[in-house]
Amino acid sequence: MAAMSSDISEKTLVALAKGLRVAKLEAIVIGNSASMLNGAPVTTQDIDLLIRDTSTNRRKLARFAEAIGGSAPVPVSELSRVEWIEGRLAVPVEIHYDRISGGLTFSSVRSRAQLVTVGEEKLRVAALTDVIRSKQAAGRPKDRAVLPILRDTLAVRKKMAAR
Amino acid sequence: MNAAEMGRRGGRSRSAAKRAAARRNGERGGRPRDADVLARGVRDMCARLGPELPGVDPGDLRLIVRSLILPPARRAVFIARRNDGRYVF
Repeated sequence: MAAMSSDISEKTLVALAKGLRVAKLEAIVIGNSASMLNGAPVTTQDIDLLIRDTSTNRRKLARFAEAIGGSAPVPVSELSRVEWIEGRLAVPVEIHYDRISGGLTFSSVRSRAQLVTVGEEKLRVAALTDVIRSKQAAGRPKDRAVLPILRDTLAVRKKMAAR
Repeated sequence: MNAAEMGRRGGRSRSAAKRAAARRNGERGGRPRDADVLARGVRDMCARLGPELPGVDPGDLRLIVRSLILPPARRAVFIARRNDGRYVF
């Protein structure tokens, strides 16, 4: 039987989590991948990770790239600190260092993030409130487009949690 | 008085096929299919939450509830670009 799309996406998440574990790299899933894992019915073409910018983490990031069969991290543009890794995962991985839009630092995002189980692995995923805050602050058309469904998801989650 | 004294000569009350079916998903006499369980769960939850969330489009509510009911790993849908330029889910 052919693999279903959810199989491919699940395998991608498991491979990502395994790569992070093997490299011992502490990373938080942010962006629309975090939205999806928080239950928002959205899709994305990459996985965004937030990490601390330290020399140790740069070495671990190289190990992580190797673990997922990826290239060395490459800057997205000359104007940006964001880097990306093209690997064997179904989608590329974007690396954000120390902070994201909305004045959110690694430690503040981490304090509200949740550990999510994917297969036998675990991923640290940013809270939906932080994803919304960062997208509000970024304010790009693609961020504004997704905000209504993220706010609706947050409202539904709150109602379901209250039951 | 036990079953033997009542004339029962032993054996099982259900056939092997029925016992096997009960362990399979969606077979006659067995558990409902996972898809049916999910659909019923989504429908029930939407019926309860809908009146409390009038601002949420019912179609979106269904998608959100479905996603929240699924395990996190099953919620993700990545769009991957193939080498030939096509996009696949």
